[in-house]
Amino acid sequence: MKTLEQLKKNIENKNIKPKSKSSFLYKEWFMWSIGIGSIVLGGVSVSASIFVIKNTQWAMHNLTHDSLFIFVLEYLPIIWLVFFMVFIFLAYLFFRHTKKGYKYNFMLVVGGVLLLTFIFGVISFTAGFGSLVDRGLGKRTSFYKDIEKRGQEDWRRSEEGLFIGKVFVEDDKYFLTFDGEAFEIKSDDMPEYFINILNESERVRVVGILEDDGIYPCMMFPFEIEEKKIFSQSAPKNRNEINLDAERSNKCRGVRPYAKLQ
Amino acid sequence: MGDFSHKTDEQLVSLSIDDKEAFWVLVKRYQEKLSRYIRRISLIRGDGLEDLLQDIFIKVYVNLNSFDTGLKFSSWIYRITHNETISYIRKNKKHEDSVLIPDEDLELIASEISIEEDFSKKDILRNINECIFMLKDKYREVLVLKFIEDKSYEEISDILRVPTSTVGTHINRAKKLLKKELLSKGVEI
Repeated sequence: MKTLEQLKKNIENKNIKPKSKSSFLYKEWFMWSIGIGSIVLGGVSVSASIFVIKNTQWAMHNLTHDSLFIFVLEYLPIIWLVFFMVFIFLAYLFFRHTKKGYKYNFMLVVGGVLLLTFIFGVISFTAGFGSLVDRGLGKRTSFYKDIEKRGQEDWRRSEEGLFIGKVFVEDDKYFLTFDGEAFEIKSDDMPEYFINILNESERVRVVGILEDDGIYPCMMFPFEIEEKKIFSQSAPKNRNEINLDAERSNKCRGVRPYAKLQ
Repeated sequence: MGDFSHKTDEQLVSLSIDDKEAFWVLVKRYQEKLSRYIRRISLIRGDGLEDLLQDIFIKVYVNLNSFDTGLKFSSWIYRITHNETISYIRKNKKHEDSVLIPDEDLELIASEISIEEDFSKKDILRNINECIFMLKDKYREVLVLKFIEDKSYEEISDILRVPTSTVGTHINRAKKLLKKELLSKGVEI
């Protein structure tokens, strides 16, 4: 009886009352919004990761980097993977704390959360959120470089024979503009597929030799950013003139990445 | 004042929101059960136990509106008791050095692990009492809930908020560990 009498006194004296139903309802809504928000943000991290991985020029890592390991370290979307893991963890905690969440085993909850996040990630990538987030963060913050900027920086190394820029045509001559300057692409004996790339692409990457007033191209690739398509061919095949006549190849032989490709 | 004695726990919960008398009936039904449960899973006794019971019943009263009707009330109140006991232990690290689980409770566990008859009953129960408090909390709790409180796997799952499969695993492991501890003390199983 002692417990009951003491309890009556406590509840009466301190005027303790049951919390209202709505306060629990608000708490539940809040928890659900954290859970759903974590899935959404986790999905956005997935879509940004897909965008970055999709637009990383894996096939050309040997043109711009000394080793694949360094290239992977530089281009792996670590920040998005960290966000992804944080949101997965939050979503896991949320589902574990729902009314029935504790009934399911760990692997099932983690698997379910991962699946939902991936599905949302793929949907948001195909809706263009991946590029939106990557570019948006790149523009608005100083610590984050978007994939386009990183790709451009890797190819803006004329002393190493790497060029990137916009193409324009004037008097049947092709020009590449970068850093506010225009350079003619020496096209006297240019193979046809180089001409096709120049005609079809707005921006190109060139491995070549900087000469007095232009660039002698040894290899050429279009520079395109894939915004939404998951299963498109994003990495162009290495296009070079390695199989052409000896004179031309010898000229290009001095170019560092070209030599590496032989 | 209405007659609440024939009402189920769940009916009393909904009546308690507007009528404290209904809540007092719930308290009467559970105060002894919970007190025993706390003594079985922890070393909390005396004033500490009384304070803890007060905290538990106040928490139950304040949170009446959050009671999930899909759950048994007893599972819900045991869950609150379990959580409050754990947080009480964390806050008050010092408690008595030794503790005795009543012999009749220990007999229930002894029958589960098939102890040889030729040991004196008193010795066995003393050994079980010592060994059960050497187990990790999670193992001691499932043993107490399953064999002393006589809860089903489903109820233990609701009380401890773990999957039913985990309850089964913990019970098996707890029995094995208890047997191991007893064997190390020379009790034949």
